[in-house]
Amino acid sequence: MKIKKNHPIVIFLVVAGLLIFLHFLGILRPLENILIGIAKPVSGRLYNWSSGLNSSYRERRTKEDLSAKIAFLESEAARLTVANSQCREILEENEKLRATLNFLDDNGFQAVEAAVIAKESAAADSRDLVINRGIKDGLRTGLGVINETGVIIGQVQEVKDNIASICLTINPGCRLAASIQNQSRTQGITDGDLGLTIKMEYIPQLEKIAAGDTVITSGLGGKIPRGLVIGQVAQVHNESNEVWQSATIEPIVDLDNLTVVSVIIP
Amino acid sequence: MFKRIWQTALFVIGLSLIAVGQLTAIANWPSFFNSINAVLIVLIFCLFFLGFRATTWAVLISGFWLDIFSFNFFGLYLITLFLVILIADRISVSLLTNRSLYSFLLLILVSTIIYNFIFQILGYFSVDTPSSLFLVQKSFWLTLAYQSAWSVVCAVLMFNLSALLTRRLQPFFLEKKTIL
Repeated sequence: MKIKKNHPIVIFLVVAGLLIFLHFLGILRPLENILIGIAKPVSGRLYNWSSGLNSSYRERRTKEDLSAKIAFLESEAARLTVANSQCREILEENEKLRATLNFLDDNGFQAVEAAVIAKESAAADSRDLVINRGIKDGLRTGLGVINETGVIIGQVQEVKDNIASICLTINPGCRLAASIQNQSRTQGITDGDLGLTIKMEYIPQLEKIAAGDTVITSGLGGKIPRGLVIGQVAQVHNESNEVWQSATIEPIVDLDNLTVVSVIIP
Repeated sequence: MFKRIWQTALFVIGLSLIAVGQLTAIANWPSFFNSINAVLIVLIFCLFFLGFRATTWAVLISGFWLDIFSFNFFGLYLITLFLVILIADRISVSLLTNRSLYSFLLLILVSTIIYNFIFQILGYFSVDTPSSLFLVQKSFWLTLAYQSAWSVVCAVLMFNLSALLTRRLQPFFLEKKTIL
């Protein structure tokens, strides 16, 4: 194949070869300097323009990055708040369990720890708790249930294989054999009153009871040990023409915020 | 005659501006945008529409400008661009038969890939103490990907712009006239 003299490849090879050769000889340097001198103002302006473009782009990107970072940190803060609240819950639960263990050790009770898993409203004025222990754990009806400080909060009402229902002391129908810590150690039966307080009725008129007296379990019946605090006498209903007097007892613990309880096995 | 001188001057000034702009402006743009290889795109555009002879001159002009401003060995751009144009011309003549957008896209994509490989190979062997081979460098493949993407985008824009300005790229349909 014959390549013509004016073929583009030939022209290129000759011109480019000449340019490279002259460059390495240094002959082309003046021309290069002139061309650079001509291009300098243009290149300077182009560079400044691109720098401005670059900096504005970076500024915008920085804002976008910051916005993204803020969004990330906000989501992270929300996540950590959730984690923190979970930790607090666990801490609280741990404290309650430790307190329960201490109470049980101090009093020599045998108990089954249970977690409250549900609240069940059988009636408008009562709210039963459902715990995660049942017959398989040795639970049976009538057993006393205490909180972490050892205050009795109710008794086992119904039991299934793995769960049990607890009636709170304030629920109507939740009857406990009780004793008032006064001089005569008045005995009686407590019952829940409208899901708010506890009442103790059929107390002989001769018994001297006063507001502030502590009410404890009497231990009669055998299923609940003696000495567990039920509450304190808030009001005494004493009419001279009545045969019996009654007392309103207020529980000393918050029964709406129970998470961990213990069922005492006698 | 005067028109031809005017066209040649415009051709030279335009190519010089693009070459200078490539090294001073585009190279200074943010990371993703500085991958645009305006010189190569324009050269392929020249090859596609003006032919090999005009493109050879374009390579000489732009390659010379790039070599003046570059700190690589003198002639790197000249040689690389010429080899790319030579290969692109062979592909265009042998494989691509029409002047459609797809041919242009394919040509520009292949040219971008070939350009990067030739440039890196020549650059690799021209330095005294070469670093690790470009093929194992992540930045090479990233630049190649960005540059290819930009080349395709620019090619689409340029082709459509040209189609608006000239009738040469308009599709031609043979109409069969029916006589009622």
